[in-house]
Amino acid sequence: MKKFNQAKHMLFRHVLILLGVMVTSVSAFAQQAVSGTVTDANGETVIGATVMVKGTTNGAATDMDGKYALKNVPADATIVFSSLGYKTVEEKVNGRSVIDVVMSGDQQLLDEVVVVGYGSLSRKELTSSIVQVDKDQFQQGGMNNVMEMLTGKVAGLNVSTVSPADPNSSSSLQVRGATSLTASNEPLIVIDGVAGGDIRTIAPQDIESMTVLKDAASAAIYGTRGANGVILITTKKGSGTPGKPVITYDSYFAVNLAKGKPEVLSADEWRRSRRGNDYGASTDWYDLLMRDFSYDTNQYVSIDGSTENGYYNASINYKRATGLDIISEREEYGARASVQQMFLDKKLQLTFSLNARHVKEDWGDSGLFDTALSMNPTIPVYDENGDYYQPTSPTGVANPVGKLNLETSQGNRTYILGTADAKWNIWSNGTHSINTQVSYSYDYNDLKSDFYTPSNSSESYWNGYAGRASITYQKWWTNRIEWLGNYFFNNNGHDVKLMVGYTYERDNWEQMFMQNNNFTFDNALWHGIGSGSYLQEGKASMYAGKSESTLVGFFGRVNYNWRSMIIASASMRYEGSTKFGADSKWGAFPSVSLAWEIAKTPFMENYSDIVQSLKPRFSYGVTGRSDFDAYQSIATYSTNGKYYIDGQWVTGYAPSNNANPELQWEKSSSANYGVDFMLWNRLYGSIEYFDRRSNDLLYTYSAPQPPYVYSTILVNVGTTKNTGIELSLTGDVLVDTPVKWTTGINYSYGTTKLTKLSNDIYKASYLDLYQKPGVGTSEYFFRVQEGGKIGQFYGYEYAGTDDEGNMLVYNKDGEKILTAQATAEDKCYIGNGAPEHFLTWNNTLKWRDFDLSVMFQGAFGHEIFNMRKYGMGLQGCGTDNVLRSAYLEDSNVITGGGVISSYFLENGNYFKLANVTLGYTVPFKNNKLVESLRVYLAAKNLYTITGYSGNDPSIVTSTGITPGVDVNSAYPQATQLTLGVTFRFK
Amino acid sequence: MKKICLIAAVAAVAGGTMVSCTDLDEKVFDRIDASIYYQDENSVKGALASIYNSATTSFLEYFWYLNELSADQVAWRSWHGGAWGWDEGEKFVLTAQSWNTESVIIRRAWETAWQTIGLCNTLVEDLNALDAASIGMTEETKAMYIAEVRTMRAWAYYNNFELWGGTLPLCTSASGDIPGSVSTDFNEGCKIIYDFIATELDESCDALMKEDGSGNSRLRMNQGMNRMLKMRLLLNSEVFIGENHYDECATLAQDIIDGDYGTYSLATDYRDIFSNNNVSCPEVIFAFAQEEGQLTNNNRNTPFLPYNYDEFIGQTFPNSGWNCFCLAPSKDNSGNVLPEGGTDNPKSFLFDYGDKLGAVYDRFNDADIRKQNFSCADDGTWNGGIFLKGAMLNRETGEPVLADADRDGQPLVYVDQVGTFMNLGRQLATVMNPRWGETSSGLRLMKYPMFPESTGLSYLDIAEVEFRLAEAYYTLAECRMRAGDADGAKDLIDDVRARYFTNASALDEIGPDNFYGSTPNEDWLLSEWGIEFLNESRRRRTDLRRFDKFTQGQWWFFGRDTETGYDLSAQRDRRYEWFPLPEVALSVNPGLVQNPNY
Repeated sequence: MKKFNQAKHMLFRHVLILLGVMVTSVSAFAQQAVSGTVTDANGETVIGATVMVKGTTNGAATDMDGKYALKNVPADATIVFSSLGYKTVEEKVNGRSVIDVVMSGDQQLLDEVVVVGYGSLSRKELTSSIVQVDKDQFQQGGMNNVMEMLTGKVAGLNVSTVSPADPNSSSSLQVRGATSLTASNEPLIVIDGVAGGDIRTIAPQDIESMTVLKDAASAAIYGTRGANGVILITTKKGSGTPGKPVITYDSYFAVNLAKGKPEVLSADEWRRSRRGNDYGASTDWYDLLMRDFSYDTNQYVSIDGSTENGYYNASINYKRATGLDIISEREEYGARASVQQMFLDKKLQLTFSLNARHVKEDWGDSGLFDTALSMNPTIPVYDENGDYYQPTSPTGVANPVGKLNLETSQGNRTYILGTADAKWNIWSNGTHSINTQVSYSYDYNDLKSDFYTPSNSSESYWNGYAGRASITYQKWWTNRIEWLGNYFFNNNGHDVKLMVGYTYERDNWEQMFMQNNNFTFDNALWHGIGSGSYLQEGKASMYAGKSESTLVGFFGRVNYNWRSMIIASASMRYEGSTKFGADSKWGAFPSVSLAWEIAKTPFMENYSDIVQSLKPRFSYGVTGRSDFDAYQSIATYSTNGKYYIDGQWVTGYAPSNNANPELQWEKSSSANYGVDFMLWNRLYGSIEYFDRRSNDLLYTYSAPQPPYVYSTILVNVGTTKNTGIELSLTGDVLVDTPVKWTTGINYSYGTTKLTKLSNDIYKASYLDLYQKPGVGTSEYFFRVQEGGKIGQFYGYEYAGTDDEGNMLVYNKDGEKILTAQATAEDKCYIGNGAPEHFLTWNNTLKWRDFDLSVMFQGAFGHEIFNMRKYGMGLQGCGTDNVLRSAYLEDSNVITGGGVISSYFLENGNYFKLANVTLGYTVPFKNNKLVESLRVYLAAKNLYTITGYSGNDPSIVTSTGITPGVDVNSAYPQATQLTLGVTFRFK
Repeated sequence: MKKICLIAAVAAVAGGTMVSCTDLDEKVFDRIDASIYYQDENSVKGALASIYNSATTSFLEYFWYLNELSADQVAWRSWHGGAWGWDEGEKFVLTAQSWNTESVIIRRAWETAWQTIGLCNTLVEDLNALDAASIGMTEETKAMYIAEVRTMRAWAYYNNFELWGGTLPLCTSASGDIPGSVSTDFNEGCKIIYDFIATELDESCDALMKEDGSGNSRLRMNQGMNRMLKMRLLLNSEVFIGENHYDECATLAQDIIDGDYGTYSLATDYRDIFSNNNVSCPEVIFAFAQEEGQLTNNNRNTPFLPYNYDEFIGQTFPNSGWNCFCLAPSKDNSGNVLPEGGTDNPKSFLFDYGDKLGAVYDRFNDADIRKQNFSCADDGTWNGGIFLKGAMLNRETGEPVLADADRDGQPLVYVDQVGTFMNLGRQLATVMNPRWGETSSGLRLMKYPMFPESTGLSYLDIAEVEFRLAEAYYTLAECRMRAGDADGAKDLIDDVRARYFTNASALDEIGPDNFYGSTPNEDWLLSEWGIEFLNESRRRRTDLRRFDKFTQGQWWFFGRDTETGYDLSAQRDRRYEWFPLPEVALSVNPGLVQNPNY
């Protein structure tokens, strides 16, 4: 059995490099060459194992025959052998020149290095809730978004993608349920130490691992931004034997196969239904918006290698994906380079990295699929002249095929992330070591959006002009300086790590916009924006904007480890931001955590075969959430309309918003109780309970008018309590058999309650959330009452229909009344939109050179409001065409009265076969060029079991505080098949 | 040595950043720090401009919907089998008088109205705190601005007061505690708000601009507008506070007519009131300035018009037609259905049913020059007609303009009836409520002229008239009538009406008998209010409620159609006299006391 575990060992090596420079040896012993062979317990050679001289960066990897060779090894040195799947071995050289090693399996999990905020720890040193997912565990297949690779991998992490088959869609992430009402519930992304980085900067293949900091204790070091959890992304570093670079080619090609579509009346059925006029044609609008062949391809080449005192790495990447609609497309070019080198007798270490990416996005309009469904199917696509047929009513209606084809809407994005880092190993002896580090990073991205609708488009038709062009340019950039100081102490079983730091970060945003209409020629698109007549007529528009905010943080942490048995950690961050109100600029964010590794306790020694780890742990921490725009706390004036005063039009100025000088971050304090365990070397995992209290919640309240000028204000008010259980369990079911099988589940259960909703000013006892889209009443889907759970639908209880098919609902006295007679007092809680249970089931099977992974995923215990059924699922709906079910199973109800009722709620439970990957590793032996080759076939979103009749329930938002409303567009869902290959050359 | 240098350098970088970088004052770029906002008089004008801008959206849109759609003359009508224009009843609930606390238009009205008041409060507070000389203004100028803003605020309060009565909070500050309703007792609350508005108007009147006939003040709060509003308050005081102030009201109306508060006179050609350059019309007391590309809220016509109105107007405008508003029909649906819609032998709600409300077209005197189809010559001469009735013809070709939706491809022929003549959505009934119409049901209104392209004139440049002198005549007339002087009342009304008739004798043909016994009666007066100020955003408030017809009067479908789910009885629940506070306002302000009827 051979193992190719480059990914893991590269990371490990990187960390060792760090450790090495921390404990730079000043010994002056004689040096020699050491070589040998590494084999496993079965006598098979271990390929790609990392062999390092402890405390140095001198290292190598084993070759195809499991051989390694090291030069300049001090006679008294220790050599460390490590590889994924094996326990790390340390051998004292003691003057030997040949050292053969047998590596034995499977406790490696406990030794694995885990990246944490501003540092790293070995897994056994963890005292808080941290899950690291390494490269080889990522979901495979064509991903729009790096975060999709984490789907199902972390209990309590919910990855939700609205239209995965649209290449320009993005995913939303949530760790341990939503607690914030207004601020983002998305975790903080940290790319190689750069907080707030944009994940789209990085090619998925450049990622080595992703670490999710789930509890407050691990995230508190990120202060006001840590409350939603933190995801640390670590990129690949250089690897390999010095002077022997490795070239990797990674490529995949994926096809998207559209799944079923919502069924509406066909043209013939339409005619029979007499819903409206017959224009004579039979048009399947939905199908006409679909591309015949939708694909996704990704090409990636990298070279990485190491030098005597450093490493280098470079990669380029090309990606092109087309959507299921006829327009959407995405094309990316990315490149990355990083280099590290040590100077001055390895005292000074300099590291630089640069990532750059250009993306061109062609935007379709996913809403047009809904337009297509509701369009009269007898309207023709083209008129007698061969132009797109323009329906003349209702006002504003567009031919969806014409709209997509005639209009141009695109975006060009640039992402740049550059870092420069200098580290100085100040002093070290065997027991103590001190280093300090200064780093600078620049994070930039921009977006230029161009739009043109020509003179023959529907928009021009309805608005009476010949074309409209607009250009929007936006850019975001962050400059950051960070200083870290580290002190390490290791003696006699006591291991102390002390870290202090300071960070200064300035975020900027800028935008400009211009728009002009009425052009003589359509050909120039937005490039000829100046030539439209609206500019001369004073009707063109133009604006710009800029904001800036600064975040300053002081932080420190101490980790203590006594014989890997008692482990403790404490941290503190003191942080302030310009965005906060004048009276509350600074906040403190402490944390403590403690763990006891029972397996290391002397009385357990006799049971080490059974219990490799049993580690109860407790942590508590305070974190914040501050994701809101600048200038909410101070009084400012902005332009606001015009009026004619004293003979001229004067530009109006008015307060920009309702200023809140007391505005501050949300506070979240959270306790986490967990047990990590590993039994019989085969069954491992953790179980956790958390209790998270969030207060001073930010919410864009309906402001009490008066005295407030405007109808909304951002305030800190309200308290939520969010509790949950997470279970992560993995078992190696078949180990010593030809077929090896590992299976595991990630399960989470959680609820969020609103405990309080008042402060000194606001005395509200309930909150209405998520106004129903469209016109009509200003109903809200959700009402959250003090003491009540979040995510509860609030509306009328369905009570059947009257003889004419009008919907009846129950009033507050339990009587059946017509919806038109129902009042707000008759509303009640009618369902729960937040899934209570999330479950994923992962399986990995290996047989000879084949590997197979199968992932199932499900969510349970919730309802979904079927907005499509509400909008076009009844005969009396205002849309032209309706769902076919309106005349079949729902034919008893003619109209729903335009109110939120339980009739439209459906059980949202689902369980799906989400991902299957079959891989084959081609067995090369002694090939001079090829180090390894793996091909795989992956299928995503294969089959879903659900009773829900609307969209795929897994795309319905399950995150946030207003979950379970299926307002998703009818953009088709897809099963994606991917064929991929990973080549590594020597 | 090298080491020491490097350590020193690193320490300097680290230390330097730490010392200099704890400053967290916010720096603004694309906006103005409030503390330096007032630089000179232009800053004051800027703040004032935003108030007028806010008020146009609020008054011209939401208050118009609430005061006209809920009354007897203008209706929100859906068509195409009830599917188009329905919008989940967003505005239909106004026409059917079936709104509730969650109705979105009521909420928008609330939010926009308080925004205007909040902006006024901010500017008044700031000006009071400001040393006029420090920004190069005289005390007189400052006083004028304060008076202008206070008058605007009083008007905004007046608009709110008409809708929500004594449930309102009273607040003249842009900060401080959240005020609850002025009183837990609705009637006491009415009195407090009433007195506040009256006092504010009285105190601010003298410092305002006074119209000298040149038109310089017509687009701003001026003395005439201030007194007209006070006059409205007095005229409606019985509804508002149960007190009779008709005498005081009459005196004030007379003073306004006499020119005590500015030089005004009735327009001899009424078309001047609504045409381009109406700022120079002597009858106009206050109008919101409008100009394409600057501010365009004058949207009185397009809600009535079909999508292809450009074909019969002869000019394309950026505002599309809604085809949702129509005038309350004069006729029921009796008789045989005609191919173009409507029936051959309908009964008149006015003459056959004996209604005194609704039936807009039939209530107009046949000799009235407004009672003809709107048309305009190439040179811009408007014939004075304000209706769209019968077949619409393409201005260029003379061909029929085609309808859409249920009558797609057929000639567009407006009928003075509302119903499903094609039985689409619901079988045709003799009287149908506006939930059930066709694309051509109901007559359309063209009160602001839309000129053909040849004139170079855009209706978007016409100022939107809010106060005009005719109202003082009608007010005085009503005071006289209530004092028993019906003939005196008619004389005043005729002073205004004379301009609509080429033949003076037609002035005395004032409708069916029940409007005119031996002398003109109150029904006649109410009808005349409606005709003169048709769709000028005041039917509910100024007229119907004062005569107790808003929920108690019978018109059109009320008492005749029985649409499931709606109370369409001849007399509705009196709860609808006042509007409810929107649910969302109550949820964030526990001090608000809901209108006791909701």
